[in-house]
Amino acid sequence: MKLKEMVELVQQHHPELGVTEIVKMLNIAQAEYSSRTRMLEKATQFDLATDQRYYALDDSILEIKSVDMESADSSSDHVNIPKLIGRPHRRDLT
Amino acid sequence: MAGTYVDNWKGAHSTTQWVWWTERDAIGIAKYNPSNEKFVSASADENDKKITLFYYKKASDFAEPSSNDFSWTATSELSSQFHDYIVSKAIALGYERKPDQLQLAMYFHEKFEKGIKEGRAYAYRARAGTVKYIKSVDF
Repeated sequence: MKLKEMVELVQQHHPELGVTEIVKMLNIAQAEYSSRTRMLEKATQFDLATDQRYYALDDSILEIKSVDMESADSSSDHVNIPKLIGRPHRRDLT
Repeated sequence: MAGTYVDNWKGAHSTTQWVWWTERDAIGIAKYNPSNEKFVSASADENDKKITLFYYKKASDFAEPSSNDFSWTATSELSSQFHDYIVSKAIALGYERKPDQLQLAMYFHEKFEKGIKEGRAYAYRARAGTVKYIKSVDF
C-alpha cells in the first residue's frame, strides 16, 4: 500500500486532519508495530579501530541479535563473538 | 590448560576472548581475560577488522510533506499484509481526539492489537513455514 492510499483511508474517517498530521500518526503506528513485533531484521558493518572500546549505535536499532567479527586469518570468514553477561567490572570510557 | 579455551576469533587456544555488550547507546567490543577480569580494546593489528551487527530495527519514518524527500508513492518497510493495521492505529489515534467517539478508537486499537499478534507470529516463523500447535485432548 502506497502512502497516498494510507492517507486516504485515514481521511475517510478523519477528513478534518491534514496530511502532515496523518503522516505523523502513521509514523507513530509504524514505530510501535515494528518495535513490538520485532519484524524487521537487518545487518550492518563497521570497522574496529585501534584502542576504541565503544561504537555508537544508530537510533533505528531496537535490539542486537548477534555480532560477527572478521576472522584473524585474513580470509573472508566471519566468526560469531559471544555477548558478555552483564557489564565489565572495570570500566572505561574509551 | 585450565583457564584456556578456543578463541572464537583466532581459532586457537587462548586466555582471552572477544566479547560484546551494550552500554550508553553504544556497543562495547573488547578482548576479555577471565583470569584477571581485564578488557582490552582492539590493537593496531586488529584495526579495520570488520564487525557485522545483526539486529532488529524500527521501521523508517515516512517523510513529511514539508520535506524534500516526501513522496506519495513511498511504502512502509513492513510487509504489505500488515499495512492495514498501521492504518487502523492512525485511525484510532484520530478518534482518540473526539471524546464522543472513543468507542471507535477502542475498536481500531483492538484491530491494531490483532495485527501485533499476527506480526509476532509472522516474525517468529521467519517465513520458514507454519508453526504447528499441538492441542492437548482430555480422554
